[in-house]
Amino acid sequence: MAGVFDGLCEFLGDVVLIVFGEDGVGDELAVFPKPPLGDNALPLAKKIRQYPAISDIDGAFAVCDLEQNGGVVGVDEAAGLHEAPEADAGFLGKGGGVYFARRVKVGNAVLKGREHEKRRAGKRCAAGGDEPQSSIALEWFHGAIINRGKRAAIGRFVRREASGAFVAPSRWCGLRYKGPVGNSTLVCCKWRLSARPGLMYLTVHCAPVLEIRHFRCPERISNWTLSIVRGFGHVAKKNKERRRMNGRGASSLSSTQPFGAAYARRISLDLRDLGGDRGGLPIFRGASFRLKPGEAVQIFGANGAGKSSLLGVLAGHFPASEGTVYWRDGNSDDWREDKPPREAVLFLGHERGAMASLTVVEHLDFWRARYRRPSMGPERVTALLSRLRLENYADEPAARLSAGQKRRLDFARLIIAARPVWLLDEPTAFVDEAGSALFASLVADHLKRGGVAIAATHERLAIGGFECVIGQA
Amino acid sequence: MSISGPFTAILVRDVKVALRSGGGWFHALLFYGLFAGLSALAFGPELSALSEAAPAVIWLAAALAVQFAVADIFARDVADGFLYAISAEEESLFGYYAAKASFVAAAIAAPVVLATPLVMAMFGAGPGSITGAAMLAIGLPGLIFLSLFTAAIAAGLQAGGMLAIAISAPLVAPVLIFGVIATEKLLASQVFWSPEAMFLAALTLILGAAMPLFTIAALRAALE
Repeated sequence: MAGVFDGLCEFLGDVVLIVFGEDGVGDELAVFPKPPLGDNALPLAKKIRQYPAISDIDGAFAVCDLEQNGGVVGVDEAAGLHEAPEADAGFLGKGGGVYFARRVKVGNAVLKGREHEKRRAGKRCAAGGDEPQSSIALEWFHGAIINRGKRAAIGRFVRREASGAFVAPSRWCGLRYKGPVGNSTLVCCKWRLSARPGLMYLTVHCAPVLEIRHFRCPERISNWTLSIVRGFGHVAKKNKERRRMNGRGASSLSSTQPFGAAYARRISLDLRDLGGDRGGLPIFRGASFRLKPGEAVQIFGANGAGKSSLLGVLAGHFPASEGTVYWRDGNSDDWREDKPPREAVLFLGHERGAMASLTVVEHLDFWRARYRRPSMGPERVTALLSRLRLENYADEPAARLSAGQKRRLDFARLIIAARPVWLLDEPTAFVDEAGSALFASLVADHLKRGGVAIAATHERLAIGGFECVIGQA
Repeated sequence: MSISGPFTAILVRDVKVALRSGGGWFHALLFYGLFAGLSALAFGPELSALSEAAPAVIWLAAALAVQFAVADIFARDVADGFLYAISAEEESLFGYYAAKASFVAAAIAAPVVLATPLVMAMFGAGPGSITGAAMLAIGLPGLIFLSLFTAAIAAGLQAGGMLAIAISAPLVAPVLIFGVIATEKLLASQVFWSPEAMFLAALTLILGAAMPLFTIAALRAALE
């Protein structure tokens, strides 16, 4: 993964930033170097999207060679960039920084940097509005690094505008930066675009889970080291509030996530050379990966390679015979190697998972009580059932459901439990194509909410994430 | 324990399922009644012989009824994956165990105890029928703890029920011995708290203290 971004960095220059956004908010966003590549913005955009590592996220933007050239910021809404690249707005200027107008519509003329500068100097934002941060200036993004989990971008914030253009500094996750220029504060952020009817604005969410340390950067900045500055609790809290606010609005968040926005707990785990035995026989060896909130891994392997055993070790069904699993709850450096954090795990085994004589709705009630979730109104139950395509079976006992429908019913557990760690054993066995798509959407929601998912599977799931093959090396 | 949560949810679910058609809450009761009724036929019409045999019959019938009713209680949850899920998702299996034990006590053992005065009256035990049921109620929790333990041992095995009952026989023996003697003394002298009755209560307490730990360990082993 890192290699891909290293390659991108080499190709584009110093900085690659990734922009995240909810589906449909129009965050397809790209920044392209102006000379000499400015004219090639469109092909470049396609090129960026072709990278498998980032094709599944909503947008990417890259900044090239700021010191010399500056660049053009391309912003497109939904189809903007593909259809009308010349209509993108935004500017990245030498000595000027990157600007995002609050109101960037498809069809806007390209804002020249000075115009923009002027406009910003005159009135902060021509569009006006309820949000004070009409534009966010990122001055001189020099180096940026993509975390291998494509979670975050890091840039070096060299010059802060005296006027305090950073109206939302609390949203930034600061990183202490030791570079050749001397220590300065790094800004590190996850970009999110949110949509309000008719306009687009940029909100910046800090990535509270950064743990990039000693990350190898492209050539020119390879000696720089990053370390985390602690004490961003308030930032995380604000973000949580913000997410909750977002969830309350009529955004895509609330429609796809009947049980709320981001998880209150952010769990990471780190497998180091994990091995498991069954009945004294070594089953798998050397499983190593690390997952942070929002990341998924799919485990492939032949029958008997140990996929389920690996999940069993993670679930605590039996101990690891070698190696260790480290769990972390929150953003601290407190990695624990005992059990997963309390009430964090949801385990979806490959068994039937439904009780024959209970009806579908009774299953929902049971799980709701079991996971201590608030009770659901009838319309919520209906919505959930129609999402699972079980609306016509609400009062049927599970015995009358087909194998695939039972699996779908089990998917309800994923939604109801709202737990941040999903351990999934052949989750799409028996399930038809629509069911697989449903499952993929559930996982996508889960990851957006900051969950992690580990799926043992023999067929590739459309959930993205890392892939890990166990069995013959 | 809060209103919702694994304990309540599992207990409510299991009771609901047991009360459904085919749920089988009455199986233990039926077994108990049949065993006692057939024993009465086997002993013949002599009322004195019957009343002498009454304590032994009710204790044996109750012990076997509980054993059979509980034998596959965990195996079902292993088979449908529920136990895997709950063991991965909960800090400990204690809530699950407590729910199962409460379920057995309420849906399986309680009907047996309630039916006991009737059975004892049938055996001509006379005025000791109600207190005899109370004696059974003292010893039966111990038997429940034991049956749950053997059910947990059997959970991971194919057709492990018989093996479980064989394993549990020596453990059940003390409860049976003291239960029967205590009931006999009760019927003979109307003294409830005979030394044997106290010993019976002590056995239940000891089993109640030790068996949950063993059972949960056995369940964990069954998941491996």
